[in-house]
Amino acid sequence: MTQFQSQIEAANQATLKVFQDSRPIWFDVRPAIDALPGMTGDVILHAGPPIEWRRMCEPQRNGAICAALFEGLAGTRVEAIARIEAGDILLAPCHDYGAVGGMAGITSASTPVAMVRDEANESIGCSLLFQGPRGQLRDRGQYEKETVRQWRWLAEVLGPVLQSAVRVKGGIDVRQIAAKALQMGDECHNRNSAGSVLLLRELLPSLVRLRVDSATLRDSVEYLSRAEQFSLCVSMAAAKAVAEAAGGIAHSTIVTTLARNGIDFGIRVSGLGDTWFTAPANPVDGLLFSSEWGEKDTVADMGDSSIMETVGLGGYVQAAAPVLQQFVGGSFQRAVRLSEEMQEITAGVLPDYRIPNLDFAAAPVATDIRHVVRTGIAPIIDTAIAHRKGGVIGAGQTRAPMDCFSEALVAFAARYRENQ
Amino acid sequence: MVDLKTRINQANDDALRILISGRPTLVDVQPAIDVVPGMRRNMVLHSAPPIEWRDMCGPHRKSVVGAILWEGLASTPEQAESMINSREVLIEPCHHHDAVGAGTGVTSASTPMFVVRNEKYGNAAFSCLSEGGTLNLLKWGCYDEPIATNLSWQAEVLGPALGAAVRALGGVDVKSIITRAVQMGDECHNRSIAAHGLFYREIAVALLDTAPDRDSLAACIDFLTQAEHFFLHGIMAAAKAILNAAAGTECSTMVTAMARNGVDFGIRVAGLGDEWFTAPANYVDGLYFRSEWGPADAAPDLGDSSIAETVGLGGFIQAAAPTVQSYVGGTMQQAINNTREMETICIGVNPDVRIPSLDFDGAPIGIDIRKVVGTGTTPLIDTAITHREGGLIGAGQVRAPMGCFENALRAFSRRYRAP
Repeated sequence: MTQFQSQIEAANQATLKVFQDSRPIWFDVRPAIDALPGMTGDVILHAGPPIEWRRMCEPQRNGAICAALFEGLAGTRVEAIARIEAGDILLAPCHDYGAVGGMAGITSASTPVAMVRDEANESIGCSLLFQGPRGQLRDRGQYEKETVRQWRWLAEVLGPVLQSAVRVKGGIDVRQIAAKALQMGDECHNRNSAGSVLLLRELLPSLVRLRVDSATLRDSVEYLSRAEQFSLCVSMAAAKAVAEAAGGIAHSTIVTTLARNGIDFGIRVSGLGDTWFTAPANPVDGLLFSSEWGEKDTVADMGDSSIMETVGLGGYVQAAAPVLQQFVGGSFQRAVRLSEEMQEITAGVLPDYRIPNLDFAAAPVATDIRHVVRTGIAPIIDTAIAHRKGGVIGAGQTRAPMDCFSEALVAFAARYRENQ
Repeated sequence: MVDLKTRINQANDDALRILISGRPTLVDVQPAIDVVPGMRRNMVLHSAPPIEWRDMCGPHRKSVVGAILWEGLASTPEQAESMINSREVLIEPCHHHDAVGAGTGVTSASTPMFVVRNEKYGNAAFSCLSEGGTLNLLKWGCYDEPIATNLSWQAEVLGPALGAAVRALGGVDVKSIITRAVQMGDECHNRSIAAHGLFYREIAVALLDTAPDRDSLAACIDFLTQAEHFFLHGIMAAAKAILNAAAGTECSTMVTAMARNGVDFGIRVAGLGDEWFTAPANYVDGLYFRSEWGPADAAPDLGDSSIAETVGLGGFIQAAAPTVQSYVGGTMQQAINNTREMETICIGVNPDVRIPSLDFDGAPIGIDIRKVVGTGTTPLIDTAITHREGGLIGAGQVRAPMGCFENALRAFSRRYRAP
């Protein structure tokens, strides 16, 4: 092994250790303005790598406009667009503010976010709590009205209630929830049924002791007992916390971000700082929830939720959730094969996260760009499918595009070989 | 004249159809005395098959005495025992009252019961509420002050609150909970954590409205939060409601009950009415929860919870719950092999209970005594291990003894072959 190779190996092992040591605790819920470093009232965050307004996909554009109206940054859609184009309203990736956002990922100053601290790595990650109304609202005006109504309820009711409950509880161990959920058929990205029940169980004893009126308590509990994907928000915040800690390790070829904005897929690599390497996002192969929809209605791969694959969950542990194979007409054997395939592009495993169906094999983690390029195996991502006009209309799988990894590897060589 | 084999096959198809089309719904929680048929103030029910007081295993004797004390029928264990001997207190199996009880299954007049109605066939079945998840409970053959206090709290606070919540919801669909739980790693006997989670989620909102006050609400929520397998008892009542609809199907060789009293293992067969066919219960192979415990401490197989296997859950679908293999040092492949083996003694598969890791194959369901005797394969049961003097000490798996199936098959021949 050359000295350069040993440097990389040592750096990758150090990065792997960050993932393995992670001890994420959900400790608070706050409005984004109070939670995210550098957040200001005129910033609107979105999922994925950076993208110019004119190139944005429709769900993100509409989301940004809704957020501008919601925050009172503009009075009309036209004004909102004008202010965005003039740069009075700043659009930026969630990832640049220590946050992640599912689907469009639209996060503005008053958006309540779950805050997770990684106790081992002393880092923090945040995620919005909700991903917008369902896709059946075909009329855009109605859809936007419903979106804003739900955002308001989240900001004024659920956010504060969860804040109190999580504080009273004194924090919730996210690793334990995820480990248990993996034994209950979740892969913690497209399937969060078990995790959401487990979180409800953690929260409910505190919730019923809060000094809030009966209607507020009832609405909050009802929301949490119906939101089958709720735990994903908390898992994503936890994943972001450890990903933050895993970034910036010199010589490391480990991926610390996988994110999509519906147009581009972007990755970041530990040894390459905050530089994004992007390529066009792939379409998602999967099942649309109604026959009225077709491929033309969908946007390409979108959302920061692939932070779950970044930390070794989701598509990487598909064998834990064979139920999801129904979205892609797959089989259990296929799920096993994909989980095994991911071992070929990762640096190690997470001993705390085990797959019962594979005799408790540990989850593969820490994607190495060298392995991806050498094997031609791109990360597999379980994900939702968004309608062009907003809303989740399906679920399935996709691959990260290979070009981001080859570009990153070229940049890595350029940066580190020069210094040899 | 149709030959016997054809008649049996037709009867078994009918019996299987009854199992598969059963629609168990939890409709209420009520004290046993108010809902369980034939229940009396001076009666104590236990896990089947029937057994005389003097022959009962240690856990059974302790639970029965405990229940008599808790009901206030006697004030000392000695008095309780003399009331049993003089038949002032009656002791009968839960199964004789459309009920099932886990462990010792001890159920008395004030015990709060899950009431599950089979919506398709109109019959109902019952099971006591779970006392929680600790090792020392009445159902494991223990009785002391904290156990009595918990039982009283369940009877006075939790039972009524749950009953009101269930009624407010218009019932809880237990079949749907089972279907989903099996997709979440439960086999619904030794592991029912997902089923309980789904029940918990459904009941929580209703409890907010029906609990009498915030303190009771908090106490109920705390209990339901900690009792991870609480809803196993609801599943058991559902299984009994499903199976009872098929009991009495003339000419059917399908098993409608499997139960153990810590001494004997007993089965009932659809075409053979209420008769029990018994053989000595086996010892459970499994994991002891503390190093101080071992096989010498264990009572033989105990409890009505094998009603789960009778309806094609538990040990029959181990492949759905590989975590349960950890009790027996097994592997995923062994779990799959066990499920495949149970297919060979069953009449059919359950389209509503599908196993994700087997590409959604339906669960084997409807045990045929002919196939058990013919293949030499007896039902595999996931179960708890009880200390011979009381207390939960482990979990694992056990086989039903072949003797009961042979006895049943002989009785079946006598009855149906007779000219």
